[in-house]
Amino acid sequence: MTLRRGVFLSGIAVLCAWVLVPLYLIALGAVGGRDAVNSWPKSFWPAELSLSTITAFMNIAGVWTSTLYSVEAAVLCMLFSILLGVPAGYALARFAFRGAVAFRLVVLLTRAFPVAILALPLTVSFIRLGLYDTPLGVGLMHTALALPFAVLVSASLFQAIPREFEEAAWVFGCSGITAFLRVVLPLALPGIAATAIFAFVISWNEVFAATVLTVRHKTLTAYLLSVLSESPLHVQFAGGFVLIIPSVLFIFLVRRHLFAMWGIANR
Amino acid sequence: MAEIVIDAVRKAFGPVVALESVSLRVADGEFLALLGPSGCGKTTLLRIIAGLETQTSGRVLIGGQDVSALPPRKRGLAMVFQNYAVFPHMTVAENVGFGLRMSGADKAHIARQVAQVAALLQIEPYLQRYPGQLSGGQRQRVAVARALAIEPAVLLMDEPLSNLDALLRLEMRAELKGVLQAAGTTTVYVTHDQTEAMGLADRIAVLHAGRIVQIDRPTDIYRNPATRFVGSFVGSPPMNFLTLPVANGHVELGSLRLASPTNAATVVMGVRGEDLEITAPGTGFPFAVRVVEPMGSHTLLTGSVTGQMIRVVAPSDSRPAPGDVLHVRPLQGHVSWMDAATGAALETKNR
Amino acid sequence: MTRPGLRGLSAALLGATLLLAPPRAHAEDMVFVSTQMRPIEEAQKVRDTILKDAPAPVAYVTEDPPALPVRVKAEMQGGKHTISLIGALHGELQPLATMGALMTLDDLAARLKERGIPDEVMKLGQFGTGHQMYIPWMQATYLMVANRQALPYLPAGADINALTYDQLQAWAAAIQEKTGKRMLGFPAGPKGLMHRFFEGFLYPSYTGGVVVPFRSDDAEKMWTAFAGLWKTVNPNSTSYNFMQEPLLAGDVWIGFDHVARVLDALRQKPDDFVAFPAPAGPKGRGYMPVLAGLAVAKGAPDANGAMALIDYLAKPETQITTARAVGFFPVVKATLPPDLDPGLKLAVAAIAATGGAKDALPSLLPIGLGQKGGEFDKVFMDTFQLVVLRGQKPRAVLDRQGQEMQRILTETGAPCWAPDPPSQGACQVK
Repeated sequence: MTLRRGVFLSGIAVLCAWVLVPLYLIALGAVGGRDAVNSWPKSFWPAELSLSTITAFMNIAGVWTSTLYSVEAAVLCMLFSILLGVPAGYALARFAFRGAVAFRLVVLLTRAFPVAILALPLTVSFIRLGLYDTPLGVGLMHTALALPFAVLVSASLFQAIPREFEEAAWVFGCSGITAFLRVVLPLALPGIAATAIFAFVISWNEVFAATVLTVRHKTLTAYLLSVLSESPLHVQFAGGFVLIIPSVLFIFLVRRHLFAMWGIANR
Repeated sequence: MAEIVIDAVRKAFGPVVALESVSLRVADGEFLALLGPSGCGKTTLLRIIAGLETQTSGRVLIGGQDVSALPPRKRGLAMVFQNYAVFPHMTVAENVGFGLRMSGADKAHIARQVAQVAALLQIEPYLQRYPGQLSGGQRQRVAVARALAIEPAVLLMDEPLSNLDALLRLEMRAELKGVLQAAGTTTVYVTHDQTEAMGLADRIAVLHAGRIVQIDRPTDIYRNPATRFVGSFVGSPPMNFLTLPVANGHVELGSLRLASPTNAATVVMGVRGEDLEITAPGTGFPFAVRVVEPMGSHTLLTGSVTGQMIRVVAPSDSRPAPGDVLHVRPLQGHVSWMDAATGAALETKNR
Repeated sequence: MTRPGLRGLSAALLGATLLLAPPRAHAEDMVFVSTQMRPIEEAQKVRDTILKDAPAPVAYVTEDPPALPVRVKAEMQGGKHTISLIGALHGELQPLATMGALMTLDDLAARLKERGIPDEVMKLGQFGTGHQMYIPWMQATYLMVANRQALPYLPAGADINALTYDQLQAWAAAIQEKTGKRMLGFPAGPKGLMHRFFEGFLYPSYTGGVVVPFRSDDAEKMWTAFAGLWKTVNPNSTSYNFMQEPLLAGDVWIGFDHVARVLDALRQKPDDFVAFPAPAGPKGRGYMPVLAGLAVAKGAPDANGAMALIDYLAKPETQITTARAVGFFPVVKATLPPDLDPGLKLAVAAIAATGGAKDALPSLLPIGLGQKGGEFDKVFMDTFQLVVLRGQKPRAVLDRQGQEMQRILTETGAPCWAPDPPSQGACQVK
């Protein structure tokens, strides 16, 4: 039916435009040369292509190092979220233990806490623990923010994988851990990849905790975002562009693992 | 090849008792079917043998060794699951060789075994495919192949054919029987389908409400059911039961006068539909036909006798009309007697 | 990405992270936290120009004003200090002094006396305690800037350096009539400093005070007049945060903003613009001087280094470099060299005209409001929204907002500040 197909295709086109057009506009502002940024009306096509805005931006003292700190904190957040969240999700999915429901609630409640209230006591604790002003400290804080998602999504992932697969693995020679590694994990990998991305992006975009907990080793968002709105337009475009790129890149690299290749619903 | 001994195994899930102190012995190389309706505990028992459930009390011995405390992988058995549980992220070949890989066998040996078992179950064309690309029946064969590849001492099967359509089920039943007879592995097979149990098993253990009600060869179960339940569960159509009053140690039914094994007020007479023959009036008892179903190979007549509904299997050319009154009588030696209160069989052994 | 590829990437990331994770200490660099000069390019200028010849390496870190007291308090409670030198506005340093986080700088103040910082300014740095809690660093104020294209439309007989609000309105109206466009702009965007316009300029000019006459009849007249003025203002003003952008883009011809937020326009196109003091009202020419100071944290890891840096920043040469770089003007006695760039000259002239005006009425930034400073500002912005943007009657709005303002003052206990007469206890709205 061509009408139906037409509607389907235009739906897809709208969704793509929803994401791509803002990206294009930011890219336009970032590489379109300094004058184009301030002109009005803005042309849809770049008059000149120059990296001057971005290079000037990256040359601003501290931008490059804070980008590295951002990457560090985001990778640490991703690692810890997965290392802690996936086993916790497995436990929630497979074992009926007392307090499972309470555990889920508590995990969710940590997200309900506005970080602003915690700013002072958090900083004090971090200073005493020696985590103040380190990417590790920021990564840990971001892990706390991403962990609820990691735990609960992992739990539903594992719930969707029939127990029979593990039982078959047990019968045919696997211990509990081996069965998890060889059978459950490969089937859950797409979901875990999605969780990893989410943890990375949460950390990458987080501003408040990163600002509060760092002095000299600020992440890029802490370094920039609090002042980006007060900066000139071309800096805003370049900064926005640089902030978006790692998330997009990361998702692009792990996109294959986002699609369930073998279909865990298959028998 | 090993003998299985279930010694007073009991399983309770909290207040709910799934198995009530079950004991049984499966001989080396024997094919035992665990037959029963849903919730009777047959799957629980199988899983206890496998080690996927832990019994509340009792022991399981395989090959003379007490495996009660051992995890599944150390019990020397293989299992075919109801939903096959074929790993979706591995090829068929990898699936079939899984058990051997886990035990650390060398690659050449694994390849040989996989090829051999694949040939046996006719899945050679699919070895490099993924389970997602196979039909249900093909996946079922993969599951069986995976189990056989490790040459297990004991093979457990949990309703493996129940997800197949009727025709496929019939074909697979025959194939399975051939393959397993050739292998000679001790097999425990769980099913709720009594035709499967009858067709495949050396012996059938009928379970009801967590207890083994009868263990016997299929023909013995068929001919001499130990309880009313067994009689009604095994055989299609189910055995007919007539509750009849006893007078002076005898039961009167139409023109028949049969000796009753009990002196209670009533007794239950059990007779199968195919063991009732149409006869001349005066030699049997009247049977008022209600429904006539021509089944092709026979005609199934449903009707009432002394107000109770029974079924009669008549020859295929027999065509009574609803409302007709026929006279039927049981074949000599094909009548079972059950206690009216308990349903348990009373003496008489039929041929 | 193939599986080996993904494994390789993850291994590389993991390795890199673990290698980099331990904090690389630049333990020698003294930390200088500042709430001023936060925008990227300004901070860059501070590092590259102003701090280039500092006596020792400095780690210049910017901080959002509300976050500063939290961080200082946390370091005090945590016991381990990272910050040595703090640069912030007078009103931002006060809570720090109150919580005992600042070292007294009496000796340093004595040493710096010969730099020529005016006594009244120096006194502000004592917060009334008699001890020097901060050394004045730099000052700024708010200006008006006009595109030369607008000058022909000035009302006859108006002196641009001595305008009244009525004349401003007539000017903008003339432009609107002749060009059909509204070319007067104010920074009424979310991060704009519009509230300072009301607090330091409009209110003192019309009522002679800020808090006390908040809901007086004079104030009512003022809002009515301003609502009239707003009819000549470009409606996009509610999205302007920094006036230099719309001025440069030609969206507006006349604008009001902090000197730091119009300086770019003046310096990029000095021939296109003029700068002049804000207008006067019936009670005078209200203006708000903005004073920034330098303080040393108590328990600082490098107190001597901090004091040396204060000394350096208070040198006349450094103060001129600062003015050149970021548009904050010296507090010490320093003659501005004649080869100063034309844009900066425009600003300097306008600031001098503002401070030196015969009817000048200085109006300080709110003092003593602590965390509630934002709520205080919001009272003015809400009144502006309701009366000017939504057209409600001023009397009712002023009464309600006056109650809100009183609540804030009573809760903080803040006494009145100039130009209101000093009060005993919390300032009262009449």
